[in-house]
Amino acid sequence: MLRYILRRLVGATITLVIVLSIVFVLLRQMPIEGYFENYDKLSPAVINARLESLGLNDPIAVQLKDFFASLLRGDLGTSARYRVGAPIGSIIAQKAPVSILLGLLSMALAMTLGIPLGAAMARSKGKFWDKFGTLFIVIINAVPSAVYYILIQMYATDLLKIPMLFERGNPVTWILPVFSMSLGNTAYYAMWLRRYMLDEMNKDYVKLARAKGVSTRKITMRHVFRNAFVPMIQYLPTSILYTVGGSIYIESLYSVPGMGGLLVDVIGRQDNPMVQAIVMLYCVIGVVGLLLGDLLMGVVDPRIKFAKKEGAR
Amino acid sequence: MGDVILSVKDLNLKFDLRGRVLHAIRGVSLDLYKGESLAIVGESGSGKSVFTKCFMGLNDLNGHIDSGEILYDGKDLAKITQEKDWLPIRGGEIAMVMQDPMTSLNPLKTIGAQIEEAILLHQKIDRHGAHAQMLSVLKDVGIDEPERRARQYPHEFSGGMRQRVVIAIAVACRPKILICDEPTTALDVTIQAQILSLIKELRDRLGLTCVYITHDLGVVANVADRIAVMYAGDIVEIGLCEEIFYDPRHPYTWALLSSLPQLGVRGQPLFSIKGTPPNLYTEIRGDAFAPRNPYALEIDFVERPPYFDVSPTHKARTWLLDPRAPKIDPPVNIRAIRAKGSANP
Amino acid sequence: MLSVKDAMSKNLEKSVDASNLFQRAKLDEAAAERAGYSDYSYWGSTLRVFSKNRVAMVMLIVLVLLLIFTVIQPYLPGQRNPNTVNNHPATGIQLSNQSPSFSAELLKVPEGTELTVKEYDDAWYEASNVVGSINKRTDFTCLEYGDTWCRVEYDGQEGYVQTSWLKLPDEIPEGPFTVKSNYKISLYASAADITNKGDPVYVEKKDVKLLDEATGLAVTTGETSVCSLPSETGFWFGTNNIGQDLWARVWAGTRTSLLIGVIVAMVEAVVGIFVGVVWGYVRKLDRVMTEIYNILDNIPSTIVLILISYIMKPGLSTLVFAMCLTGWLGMARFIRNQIVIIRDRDYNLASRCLGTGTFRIILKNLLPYLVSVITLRMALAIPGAIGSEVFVTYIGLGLPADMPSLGNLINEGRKLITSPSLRYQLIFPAIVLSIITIAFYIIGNAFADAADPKNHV
Repeated sequence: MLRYILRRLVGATITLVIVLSIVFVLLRQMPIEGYFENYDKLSPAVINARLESLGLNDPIAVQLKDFFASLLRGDLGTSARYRVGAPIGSIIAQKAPVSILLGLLSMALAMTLGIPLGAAMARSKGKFWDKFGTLFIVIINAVPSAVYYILIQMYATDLLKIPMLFERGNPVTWILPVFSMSLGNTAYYAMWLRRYMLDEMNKDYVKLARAKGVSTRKITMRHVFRNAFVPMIQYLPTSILYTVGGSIYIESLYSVPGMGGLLVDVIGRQDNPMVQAIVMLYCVIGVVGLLLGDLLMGVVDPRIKFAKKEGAR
Repeated sequence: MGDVILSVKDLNLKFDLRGRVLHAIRGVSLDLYKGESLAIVGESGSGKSVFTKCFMGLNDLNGHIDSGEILYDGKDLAKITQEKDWLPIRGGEIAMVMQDPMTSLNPLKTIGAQIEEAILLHQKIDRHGAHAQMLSVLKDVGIDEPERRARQYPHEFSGGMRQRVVIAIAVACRPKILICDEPTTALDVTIQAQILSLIKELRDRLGLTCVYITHDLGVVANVADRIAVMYAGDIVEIGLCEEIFYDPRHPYTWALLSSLPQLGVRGQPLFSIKGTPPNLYTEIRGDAFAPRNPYALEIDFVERPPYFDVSPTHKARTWLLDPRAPKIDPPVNIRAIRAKGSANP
Repeated sequence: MLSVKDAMSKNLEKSVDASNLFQRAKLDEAAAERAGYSDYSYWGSTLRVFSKNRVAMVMLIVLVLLLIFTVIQPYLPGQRNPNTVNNHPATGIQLSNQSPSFSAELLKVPEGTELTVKEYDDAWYEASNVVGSINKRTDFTCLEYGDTWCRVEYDGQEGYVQTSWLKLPDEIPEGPFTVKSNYKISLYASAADITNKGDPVYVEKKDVKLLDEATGLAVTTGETSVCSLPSETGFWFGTNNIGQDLWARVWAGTRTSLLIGVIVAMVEAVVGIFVGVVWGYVRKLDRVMTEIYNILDNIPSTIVLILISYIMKPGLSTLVFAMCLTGWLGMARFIRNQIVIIRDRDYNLASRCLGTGTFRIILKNLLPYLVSVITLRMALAIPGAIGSEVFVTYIGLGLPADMPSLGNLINEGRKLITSPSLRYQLIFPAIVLSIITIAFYIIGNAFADAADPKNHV
């Protein structure tokens, strides 16, 4: 088990370094305006001096080395336009908690809604809950999330008579962002859980359990549900990415002072160092999510400890 | 023969498949005697599995018993519609060993837990007692170090060992009837004999009535007292083991036996049955085997034959046994085994 | 013993008499084969299963009609250009935020309504029923009091004014009395403000009779439509804040979005299949490519989308490029997995043993098996690409406004959600987009189900 964890950890670290390098190199292709507060008014000499001080005139390999060196020191650079000169680390530290809290709440909500929905759908195949759930899944999967996020904001705020924008201190304003953000994952969990439960229900061990005299209800609870849950875990990373993607919309729609809203904001202002930092942070979340999924899988599935896992899922 | 433990009368089973009706069991009658061992043979799709699953209500929901009775212990099992009425029968009265031990066990539960689950369902016993009983059952089916093995997961067992576990689950609650659905098909030849003798031994020790489902006539010869030959959802011939092997009467049984490579004549091409089994979606008229039967009579295409008794224990559904039918000689290799049979009865 | 005769009489093709029943029948090998015969054909069954799915069939019809309409819409008569700013023909002011309406009709007026008309074109008069105006703080006589309209006389002219503008005494006296207004108000020929606060309106010449050429006094000859534009058709989906026709923009946007979707789906399919087949079939590459995949897969696709759109110049090609960059990866992985599963099936082994070349095996044995799943992925790639376009536009990296797409229409509409009367600017593109994406999704899934032989029983 320990070896399994260790191998995963090393793999994730290597992946992370490569991913960050790719992102870094890509972002160097940006126009250099994004490193200045007021590029147009500056003289070439001043510009050059600043580029020099940022190390942007160095060869890319040197830049990359410097970047990782400062990253290890915990230095993410300073904002160029969003909040001039402020260290990005502290901006993010200030914004991240709301995002993390929103994301966790929404994932918790998605689980409490999606898992019972998926189980109900599998149990009533072809009947009401299945049809209702299918309709829900089709709409959520097919319609771009931006559309229903906006519609929810538009009509639900009217209907529930709650403010359209987020206020940290007002719990009522948390409802819609969390709910909207959970929809995609709810549909996702329900869809996969239903599929895996139906798959499991057709397996021989379920037939054997039936032949043993176990009731359908107990089979569903003790055998099918638990076994269907194992492959579900591999969707954990994807659902983290879903949440991250959703937060970009939701936070800017509801003016949540978090990371997602910040990203949209700094893209609008073309603040290169900020964009770089946030994009990389999201990559880290992605890699960590995958790692988490792998490790959880190892905990839940007794077969993992023995089977040598193939490289990719 | 002993007492009848289970009696099937004119059973018809139909499946609804996307608006089409598949008539899987076409008017089958069968008496199962206490303590005997019956083998149901037939090619794939002949309805052997589906037929025995009726005894336990294990067919899929789209299959329904159209008419007929399954009498067991004074109850008509064909009338059961509620799952809760089936639960005490499944595992408790009638148990089943499935074909593929590799997939019949829940991969995420220890085998001990899976056996205990069955015990706890059918016996008024506490967890502690169930554990003890589970260990003794494991020992019964020939698994060493039951304490340690019970804590292991199915993937830590070999195929033959897993089949032993499946058998342990089946016999854990002392059922009266054990249905073995191709118990050895998925196993290595070397393991097959071990499993068969295990079942035989358990049968003797526990007084089980066994029903084997198989298409392997070698298995049948080893374990069965009686043989029922199924074709297209119907039992076409039934009789004692020797009667079927040495004095078969139905042309399908002839064909089936002739297909055994052991009965082939050196230098001659191996025998195979011409054509394909009938499509059960369409209503079958006359004898289902008629279109493939080289010995078919005109009446076979018109009217379904009744059972003709050959001996008190042997009957077959073929017009060839009708007094009006012309005398037809069975194929040469069948005559050969018949001669062998009469030589050493 | 048996009703042989009965059975016989039903037997049409085999007419044998009862005495012959126990004769030997000849074995017909063809009939023996036919006993288990089923008239199965893969594509036939696929179509049959698909056509049984009513929801999918309805969606297919809706989608086909919608696609046809989207293509031919610009060539239909009476369509406006999506980028033209529509100005009012008389005032020259932008017709901004006009509510959607099927016709330009403002209201219907009864026969005998007096109007003042001016020549507009061959078929239309520019009309008004304003006969004069009363300056503010001027006394005039109210002849008849009404809750919404008062009949008044001013400067020898009789007409109607809106009661709400008047400064009335505390108690309304019987009979005529003198009133005044604090504002400059219009005196109407009839008790109806057909001109929409003084904006010119249009009536068809055939509906009115000109009484006096000099003053333009005319009277309606029957129930007459008063229109806001010299045209029967209005802005079906309304106009946006700079007066562009939303109907035309929605369809132009649909064309753009579908174009993006189709291109992306094609590129994904071609690149994905190619890479996937190579990856799955060439064993030596598997290890390397799997590692590369693992790394690329770790970058969230939204981030790639953002990154590429951010780095490159905004435009159609950038968008398509960014979407293709992430999409093919999933497709390749998917194809690779399928191929690894099928690759070692016995029939491929058999082919190889017979000396079939790798390329031929891929082409003839592997790809046909994958047709249904590939179609599914492509069908789902289209709504996916449309969704990505909406996302990228939303964060401000999308197409320029003069290239309408569903994404930027929705984004424009989003800015107006605080004023309920303008929400139609979001709703219309959102509805069209939802229909398209849902239709593709349902059809794709239904087709994949139908193409799966497991569902052909």
